[in-house]
Amino acid sequence: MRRALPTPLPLTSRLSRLLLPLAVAVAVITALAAPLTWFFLSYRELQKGGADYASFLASQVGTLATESPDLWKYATPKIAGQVRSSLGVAPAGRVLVVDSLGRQAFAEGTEHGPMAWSSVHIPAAGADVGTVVVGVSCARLLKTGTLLVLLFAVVGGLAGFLLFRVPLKSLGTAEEHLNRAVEELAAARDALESANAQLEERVRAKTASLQEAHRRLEDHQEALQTMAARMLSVQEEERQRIARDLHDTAGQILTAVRLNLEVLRGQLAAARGGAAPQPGTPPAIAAETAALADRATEAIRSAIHALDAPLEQAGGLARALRDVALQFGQADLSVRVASADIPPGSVPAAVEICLWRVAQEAVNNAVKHSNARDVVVSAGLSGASAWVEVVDDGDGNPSAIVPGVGLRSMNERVTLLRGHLSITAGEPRGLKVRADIPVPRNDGTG
Amino acid sequence: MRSSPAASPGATESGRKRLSLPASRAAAVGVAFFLLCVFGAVRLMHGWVALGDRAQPVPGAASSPEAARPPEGRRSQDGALPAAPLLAGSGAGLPALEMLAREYAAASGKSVRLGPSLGTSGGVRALADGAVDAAIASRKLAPAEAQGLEQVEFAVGELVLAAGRDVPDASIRVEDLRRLLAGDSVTWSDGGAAEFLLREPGDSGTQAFLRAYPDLAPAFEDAAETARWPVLVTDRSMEATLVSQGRAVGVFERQAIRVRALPLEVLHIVDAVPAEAASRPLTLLLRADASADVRQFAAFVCGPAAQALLARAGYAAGSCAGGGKP
Repeated sequence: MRRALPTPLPLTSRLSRLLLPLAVAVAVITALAAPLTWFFLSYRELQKGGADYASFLASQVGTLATESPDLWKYATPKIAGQVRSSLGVAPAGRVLVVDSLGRQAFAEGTEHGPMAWSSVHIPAAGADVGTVVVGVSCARLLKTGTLLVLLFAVVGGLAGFLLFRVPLKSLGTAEEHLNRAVEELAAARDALESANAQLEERVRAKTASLQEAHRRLEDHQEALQTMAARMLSVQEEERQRIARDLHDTAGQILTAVRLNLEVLRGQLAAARGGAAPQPGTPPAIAAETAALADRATEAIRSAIHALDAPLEQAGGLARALRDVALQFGQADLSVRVASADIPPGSVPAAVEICLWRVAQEAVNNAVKHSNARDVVVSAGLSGASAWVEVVDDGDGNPSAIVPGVGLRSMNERVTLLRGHLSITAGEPRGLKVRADIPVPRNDGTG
Repeated sequence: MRSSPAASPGATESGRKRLSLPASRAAAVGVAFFLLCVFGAVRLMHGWVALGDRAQPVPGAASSPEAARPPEGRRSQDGALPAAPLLAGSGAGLPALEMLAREYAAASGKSVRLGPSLGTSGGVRALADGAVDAAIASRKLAPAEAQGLEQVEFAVGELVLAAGRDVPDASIRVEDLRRLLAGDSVTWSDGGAAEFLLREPGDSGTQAFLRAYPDLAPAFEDAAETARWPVLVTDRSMEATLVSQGRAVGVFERQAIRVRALPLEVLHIVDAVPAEAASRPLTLLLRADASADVRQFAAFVCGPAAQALLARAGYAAGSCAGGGKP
């Protein structure tokens, strides 16, 4: 399953969420901290200045009021002037002096906008004879404070903007590069997938081609096997024809020669009076020729038997194997069939013939070349193949075997049926010749 | 060909828009919050000041016995009515009136009381309120002030530059005086630094002096505005300061020096000719309903005995002298 490319992280948004409170805090603190601090300190200073002024004026007036309790208020303007000159700078605002009856004794200045008020009682002889009220105009303070706030707001806003914008812009550039890299990666992956798809298509095409070739090869093999079976069948027919020919021609001729030689030997013996023939004499030569004819007849008979032994006539592979054992068994050589568990008709005839011929040739070789005393023939079905095995106790050595006509014939027969022929050392001695031939299953495969 | 959304250029662009939109919205919220804070700070300042303004202390009328008590001018010392007339106002007239009061008491067996220095304006207000029986003025009254009042100009005083006893010189050049008022270093002949004492703007003595020496007016005004020298607001404080600071000079009344035998000397101004006499009238102000005692004292100060006494002290005769209307 294809994994999706990672979606680019919302870095700008995340950073903005982190930076925004910080930038706003910096902007607000920068904009407000200094102006507000200045404002409140200045306001307090203003109020203190007014209070100091009121206190000083009240003390001066109080001194006069102590001396002249009724006339002090008429001297207040002069005293206020004295205080104003003593303090150097008069507060910009309003100064009121009222007596204990609330009557205004002195007033100067005007109220300009909001004022910061301070009031101090006028002490005289242990009593309050009046009050000094001083109001300092805050208009200038407010104006300056507002201007400071606006000025610092510009500075703070700029600072906050830079604090917010600069990292965000840098990150935005980085994010853009990242997105571009993701795009390039996606394009590369698409190109890779396209190439992969083309490759898969070519592999599919090649596989189909190979499958077709395989199918044709199987057809050829099947045809070849059919042809091999047919060839074996033809070969068997040819062997039977040769056997018949030998029997009908050479056998009959040799029988006739034998009969003629008997006649001739009888006539020669009669001519010599029934005396025992001497070696080298015609009767002896005739007798020897008759013996040779017998031997030739016997050889032909054996050849005919070897060539003409169809399984149908033998009664199946098991019977044929037992015939082989009987044929080659001698007084000092035991040839026996240990097992032949291949029911008639369970394997194709070509396979049965092949197994039979392999067993016949292997037993023949063991009898002729291995000096064996005991030869055991076995056959059976194993899985999808039929097999035959000939084991002797002779002195054969697998590595010393020189392939001859018989061995090549066995190998060709087995190979034609896609089988396998092996010659290995027997236990404890001798040779073991085994042929495994695949048997087609009922569904037609194999 | 399949392609992920991130790999598509169009999708990436829309992705960027999706990313930038919340950031812009958050920034707008931040800016709004910031502006709100700035606005709030301005409102806070205005509110704070308005709160202080609403706290204006407005003294109310006290329910003290003072409210029922009549003005001091109508009471005797022990509270019984009537008492000796009380005179108060400009402190410039006090030296002369102290001298005359003593003479009046000796001659008639009656007495008058002199109040503290209230200034001419304060005296006029006190008279209007009935706090005094007669006011003392040392300048010409404004028409509004003079309305309903009788003016008894009993003497004319001369304004001079008075110097403390430690000043070694008897005169000063007008240029040095100008430099001294300007704050430059001016030394007396013994090397001591000269000092100057100013009166408050509007003082009758200073105004009379500057009418005589108008060229010095800018220097006086500049010195008063810059508070370069101490500014005194009563004749009494000027007198005391001149006496206590031996090296200072200031505008003072020549006759007061003599009457009170003050340790002061008149400092002549060299290289300057007065445009007019540096003098001011000393006047008693009476209400139309002035008492007989007050009128008697007013008549006394205009009489020959008092005028002779004043003349001996150096005062010029006032307009009431020699039979003028008291």
